[in-house]
Amino acid sequence: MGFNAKTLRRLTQIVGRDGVLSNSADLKVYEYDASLERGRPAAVVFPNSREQAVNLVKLACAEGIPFVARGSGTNLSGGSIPPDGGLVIEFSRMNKILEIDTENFTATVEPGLYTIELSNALAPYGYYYAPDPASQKVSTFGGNVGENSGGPHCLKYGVTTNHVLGLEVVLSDGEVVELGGKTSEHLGYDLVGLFVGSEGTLGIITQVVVRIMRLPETAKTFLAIYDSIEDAGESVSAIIAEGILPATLELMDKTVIAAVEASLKAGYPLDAEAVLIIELDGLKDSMDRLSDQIMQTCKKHGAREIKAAQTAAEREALWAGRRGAFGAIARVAPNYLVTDGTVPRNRLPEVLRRVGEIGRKYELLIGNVLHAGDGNLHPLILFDERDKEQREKVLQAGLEILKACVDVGGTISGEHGIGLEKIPAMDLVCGTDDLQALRYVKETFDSSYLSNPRKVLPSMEEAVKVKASA
Amino acid sequence: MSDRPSLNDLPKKLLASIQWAQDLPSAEPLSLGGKSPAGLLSVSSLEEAADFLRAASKAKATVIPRGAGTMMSLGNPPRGSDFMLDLRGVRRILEYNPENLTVTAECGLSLSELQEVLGKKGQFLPWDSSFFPSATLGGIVACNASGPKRLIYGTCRDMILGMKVVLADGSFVSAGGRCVKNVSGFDLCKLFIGSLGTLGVVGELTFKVHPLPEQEAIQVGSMSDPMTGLQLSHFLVHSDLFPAALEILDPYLASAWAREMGIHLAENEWVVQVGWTGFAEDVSRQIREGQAVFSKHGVAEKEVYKAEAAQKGWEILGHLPVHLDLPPEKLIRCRISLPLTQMGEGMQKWRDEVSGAGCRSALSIRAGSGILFGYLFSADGDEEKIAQSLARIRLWVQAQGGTLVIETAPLWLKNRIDVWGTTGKQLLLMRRLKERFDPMQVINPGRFLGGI
Repeated sequence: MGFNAKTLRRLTQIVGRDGVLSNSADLKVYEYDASLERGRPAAVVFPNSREQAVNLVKLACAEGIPFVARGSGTNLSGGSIPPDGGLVIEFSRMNKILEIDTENFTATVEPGLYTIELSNALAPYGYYYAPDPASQKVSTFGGNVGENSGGPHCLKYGVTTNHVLGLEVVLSDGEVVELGGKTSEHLGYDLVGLFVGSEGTLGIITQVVVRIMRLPETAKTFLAIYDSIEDAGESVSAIIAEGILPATLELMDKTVIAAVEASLKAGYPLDAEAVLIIELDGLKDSMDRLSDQIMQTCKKHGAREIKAAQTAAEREALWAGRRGAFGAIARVAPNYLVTDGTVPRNRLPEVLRRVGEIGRKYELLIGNVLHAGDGNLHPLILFDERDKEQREKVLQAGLEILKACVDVGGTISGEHGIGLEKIPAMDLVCGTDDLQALRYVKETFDSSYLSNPRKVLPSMEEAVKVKASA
Repeated sequence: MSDRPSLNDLPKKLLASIQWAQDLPSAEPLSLGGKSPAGLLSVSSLEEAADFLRAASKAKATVIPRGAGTMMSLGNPPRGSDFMLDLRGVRRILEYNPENLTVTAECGLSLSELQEVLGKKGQFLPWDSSFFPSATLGGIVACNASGPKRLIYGTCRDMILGMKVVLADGSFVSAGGRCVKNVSGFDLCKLFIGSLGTLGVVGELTFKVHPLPEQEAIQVGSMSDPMTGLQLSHFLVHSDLFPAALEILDPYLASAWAREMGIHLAENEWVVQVGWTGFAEDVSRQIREGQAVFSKHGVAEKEVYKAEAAQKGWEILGHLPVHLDLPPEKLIRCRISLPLTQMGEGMQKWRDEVSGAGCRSALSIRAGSGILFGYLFSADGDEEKIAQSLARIRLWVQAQGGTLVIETAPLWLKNRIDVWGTTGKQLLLMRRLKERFDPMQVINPGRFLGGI
């Protein structure tokens, strides 16, 4: 359903003629993100300043139009889908680095900046921004903050929330509020911490202050090769239990290895059941001893072989394979559902077994990519969307995997968020009183329920006030 | 003393275990902001705490939760304090999973007891030994306390994975979980950390624990000019090395610390303590390079403490006010957070202002984290002048984007100046949160920012 002429005129007044998309061919591109959810907006707008963003939100508020902030749409849970139509506010024109302040270990960026671009800009000075979602080449800071994104290096350095110091946000009534700031301590409740990971449901982000760090003196990357995925899982918990905290501990299984090798040639062995990518970083002094220790631990737990990347190019190839894993899997099947369950790390081997059983039960091919060190699974359930019956089985299998995670003390999402997709699983982890507390927060920031409606909170559905503005 | 509010809905057994003020030997140690509560209830389970809060909510009574009471001085005087709720009896370890490096424990457990259990498995919770050993987990989290080694380990928000909170209406809210990553719903844990209990009583906590470091050291240097210490700190945080802590003490605090540690300092010497922690080879190398950095900056190395001696050094630093030989009711301690680049100016500002107020003062600097602790020994100062000078320092600090919190102060000062200061438009959001989580203003009313 489109907007009426008056609303479109107002939008054009705010962002200019080239800042609005409203014909159906253009809108079709914004119907989807990296999840299976779909929803067509009435218009997509491209603000280039905070003032424009504020005016857009004010207009939406005045007319009761739901709005969804969008970066690059790499969201894996339907977080950037507008389920009720309305406005998609796309941030690609607000993509500047506003300040790099190495002296205070901070950088201030606009929400549309690609994650990798900050680290690229910092590298010449010897600094970087630690969180590195696999999609960092195109994912944006606004999206990362909204989802509290993780990434391979979050094992050692923490996820997005551990690196965000301040935010400038626009609430759903158009009010601009600054939360936190550049110093290490702030007064009152930690609203920055609350806003990070709120999936755009509390308001729109127009500026992010992040903590930056010194690049480590040295890093060493290993590939450990296994004939059994459980052995790889055992190695992960053994390394953690031994008191070594590598920068990354990533696991990929046979299905994923095959897809990666077919498209990216990362150098993973095709006959292996699983590989681990392990990276150590820090000071060079302890590096040799820790490397030996890790190699021995992996071997003790069934690694067929473990080798260290000898050159920067070898290291880069290992990583390119991991980062490209989701994309590469498209060679195997047209569609996949990726789940994001997270479990205590020592329960990984049994949960991996469970995932295998679930795949066999539903006769579905499941590939596994894991932030294994964090206990964060990403089973990729492969299928063909055109097969309606198969699609239903996929959703069932996905839910069953999440249940298996919760059963061992885990949770339904480690880093991809709830979005639309995992709403049906929220009751696995949230009771009535817990949901009530989430609602207190939602209503504190967005009592009109216009900001990214229907996400995160299941019972919000009833509360959504949608105005059919056509 | 408050009147006895009637708690009609309280289970009889709990009602019977309330100790009423007139029956207590002396109400004084319970007093908060000059008022003594009418009664004290010590609970042994979260369910009891929930029953009590529910009854208190219905009776419109006010409740001050407490653990060991080591940080009771934090906050403005409460508007009401009918009851004190002692949570030290709620102290079980519910699940310790060393292979996953996580532990779940109840709020009333003391930090030292938890560390002992973790230590047996070669692990620890990376809160410094600078806290008092009796401090409870819940208390530390409610106050968002941190110590010197926050530089490398972070603060509460970086180590808490999940919690269970008892709201004022007696309902339980769970947030987060027992995994190291979790984005299933809003991150409510963040909301309760540092909330001083004003949104609910933090009942259960799940922490990410760490392996005990192989080696730990404090490298101690001395200098006559504090700017030298700041320059040294600047150099170290921007180097390849990873200092775990960077503390600078003025001559007064330095001499108190040195006395306890048994080292000699010349008069008017400042001290810098550089903490190192981690794998043995790394620590040795950092000490070695640290020496070179010391001499490059004209800092004289006094001592390198390792292992237990380093632990002891941090303990004494954390408990320093105890070693100052002062009546606690005379002590004012301010915590000033500033951008790293403003630390030098902040230090100067503090010294200029407080010398104008005519009382003795001291300061220490958490140089890598941008925090300055200012002490005033107010026995010899003019109350009005002190309040005014602190207000002027705060104004300057806030203009730099920082904060000045008065952590410890006698009542006369709290009656003159808000201990927290002011914040922008976000206060409105904070008030709305309070209205929703504790609509009857039962828990710690008025102690928090902006009268929350």
